Amino acid sequence: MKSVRIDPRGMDFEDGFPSLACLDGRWPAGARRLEKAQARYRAFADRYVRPIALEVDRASGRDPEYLNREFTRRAARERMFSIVIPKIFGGQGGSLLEMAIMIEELCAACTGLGNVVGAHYLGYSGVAAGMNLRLLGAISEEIVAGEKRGEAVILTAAHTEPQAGSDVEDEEHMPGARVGMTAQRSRGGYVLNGQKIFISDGHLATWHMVTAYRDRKDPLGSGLLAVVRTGQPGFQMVSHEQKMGQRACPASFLVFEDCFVTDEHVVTDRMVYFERVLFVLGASRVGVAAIGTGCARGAYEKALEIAQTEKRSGRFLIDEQWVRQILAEMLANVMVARSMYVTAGLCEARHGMMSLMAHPFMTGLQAVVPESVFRMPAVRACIRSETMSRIMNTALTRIHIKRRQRAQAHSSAAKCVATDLAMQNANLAMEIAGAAGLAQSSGVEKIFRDAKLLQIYEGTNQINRKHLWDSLIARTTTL
Amino acid sequence: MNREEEEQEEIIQAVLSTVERFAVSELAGGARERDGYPHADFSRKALQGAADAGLLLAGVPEVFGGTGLGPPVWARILERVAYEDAGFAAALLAHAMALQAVLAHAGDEGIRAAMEAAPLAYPIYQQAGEWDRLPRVTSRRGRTTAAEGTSVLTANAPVADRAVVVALEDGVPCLCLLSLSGASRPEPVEMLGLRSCPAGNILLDNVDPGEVLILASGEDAVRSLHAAFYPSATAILLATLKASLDYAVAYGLERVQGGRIIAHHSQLRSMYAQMEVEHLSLRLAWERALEPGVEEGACLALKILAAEHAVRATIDGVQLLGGYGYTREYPQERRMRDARQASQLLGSPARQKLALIDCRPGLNDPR
Repeated sequence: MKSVRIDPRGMDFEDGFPSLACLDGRWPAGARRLEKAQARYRAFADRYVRPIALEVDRASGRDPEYLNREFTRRAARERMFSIVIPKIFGGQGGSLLEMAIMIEELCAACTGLGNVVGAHYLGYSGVAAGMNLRLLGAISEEIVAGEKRGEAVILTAAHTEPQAGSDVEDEEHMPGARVGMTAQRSRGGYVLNGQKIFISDGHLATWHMVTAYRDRKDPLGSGLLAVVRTGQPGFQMVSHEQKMGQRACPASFLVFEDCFVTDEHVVTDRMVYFERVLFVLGASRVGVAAIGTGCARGAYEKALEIAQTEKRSGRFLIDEQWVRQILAEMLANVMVARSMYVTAGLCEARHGMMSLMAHPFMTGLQAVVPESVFRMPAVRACIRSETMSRIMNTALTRIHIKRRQRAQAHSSAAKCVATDLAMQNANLAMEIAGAAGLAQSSGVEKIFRDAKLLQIYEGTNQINRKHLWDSLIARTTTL
Repeated sequence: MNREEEEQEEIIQAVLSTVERFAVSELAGGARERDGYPHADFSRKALQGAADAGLLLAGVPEVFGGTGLGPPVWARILERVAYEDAGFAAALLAHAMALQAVLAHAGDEGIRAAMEAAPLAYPIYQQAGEWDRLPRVTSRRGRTTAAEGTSVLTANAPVADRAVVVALEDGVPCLCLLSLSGASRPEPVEMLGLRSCPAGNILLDNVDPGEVLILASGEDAVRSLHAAFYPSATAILLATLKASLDYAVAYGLERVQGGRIIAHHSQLRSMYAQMEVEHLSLRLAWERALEPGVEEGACLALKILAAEHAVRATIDGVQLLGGYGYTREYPQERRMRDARQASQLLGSPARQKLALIDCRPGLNDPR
């Protein structure tokens, strides 16, 4: 067999995304924009993520309170926190797929650091789902202004509670969920009390999108979404969880004690609460599938690197047929995972929450109208008006149930397939590396630790399979 | 059962009772703290407890104060110890393998000296048959005159005074006994799992050649030593799997989601069931492997299978606890790391498979 030297990241856009590249003639702006985005974020990951990944993991392992703010500042300077923010709010007006491609590139270098950026978009999509355009506009502008200063304004989604995890993401289990986070109506707003756990980015964030319940006995019918600012009275970030992996991304324990949120900071308190949660999950699970793809790719690239440096019985591992077979299987896993998130991303843009922003009117408006127009006071006031919020809310609620479920089914499928394949690739990388992969300095064992969390967060893969059943298989019944 | 077998069974039961007391009094509940190594101190307390209970000499011949049961008794001890702390079991495995090498090849004086030097270090991740990257020694008239290279990931080395390492002399593998102190005692390597078993890379260039004793030369010396401990490596994997299953079931009976105890969901039960199938079938085969006369290849095959099942099952063990399973507050994430690390004991399963099939008669015949 011929001995070869292979560049782990030598594949171009056409190799990695043939389905998007083939749209070049029909959707040139989109395909080319994604190709450029991939090159840009790959260069960023090579320069700023890969070199620090092991040290950040080590430092976080030694000191659970460790936070790397230098990375978030660099990501902010690269405008990584405003990709999907519409241009009408000063953002880049990018697509969910562009965000997912960025996440894949970061996570191939370090899943933990990639999740620092990925989790921000979960929080942002929670705020967006409320279609409270005044609030959404204000927070969007704060994120963009932060990027201009080189400071990251990060959002979290605070949903999981000590006694309520998978069940608060599932309609069937929600009525019996033991939720503890209460929202009591008070003059001009709500008073929040309760705890949230495993909140990704908690200690790095400026804003927290919090779910709470006006009636603990009726979580499905009484939920609300509100935003709380770090440092607000009655709100505390108590500690970081000591996790097995993804240590660069803090998972925080949040405590709310008589924390008052004004009506202006309520994202939604209408009966659409759970509908909006599902909209958010439909979009965010595409991002988690991209994290899984990045993690699977990181495992493949690391295994390829080790196979080219480690020798057994005088031969490089890369020269062994069985090793090449495993590497090919790992790359095929990456391809499958990526295809899943691309499909889910396109489906989300067509049928999910993102379909409002991907509507030809909105994309055309943002493409044609100069950004300075959106900054004009009259235009700003119009965009942020109650009327506009009501129109957008109605438009979101009117997305047909079948379309929503289609988007949610594909994102659930993408999430569990991509993250299972990430775990599989992490295992295969450990197999190829053997004892050489056991030390933290090898970088292989870190990927193994990092991968496991993907099968748990954003709904366990068991819950996601249930959602796939509920939203696609069950609705095709003829009975 | 004849008289001799009855006596042997009585000794085994006595050893198991001792291990049980030791596991409950010294190990239970302390695994998380010991898992903090190398960022926390190595726990000498547990080691002292094992020494006080006589466990460090369990496989030693009666003439030296042991049970005379040989390596199989180690497998039984390690299975119980690993249920509480697989890392500490790996530390005992390294000690046991080094001690066995000394027992098989050193004189009485050397044996007594080694017995007093607990823990002994040994490269427990080394695969017999893969001799790349071994350190090299040179000897003349029975005395070692030069030593160089690195004994990689030698278990217990950062905390041991003596180590047995595998080295090459004129291209031939050999077992060497050496002293560790000062510059020759390596820094600990931060590992994925089995962290209560410190591991380090011994740089033989830092060891005085006069302190290196070649115990035995030839591939067979290393191969037979490893073969004797395949059931011990299997024991660590089996116990880790069992501990993960037991904990997941206990948690599932406490945790309520959507108004139901999660252990009552058939989806979770099917995951428990898969783990139980793996545990029970491995246990049956492992008990058989402890009987005399079982082929070396079969013991290796069982270790490979145990590694694959333990890795898979402990990943599910984390999943069954959801987010809590991923935090250090709960033991499941440690078991997942330990199982993955333990899968590499005495070699990597992928390469052990190839080594196993290489031994099949006729497969390498020219056509």
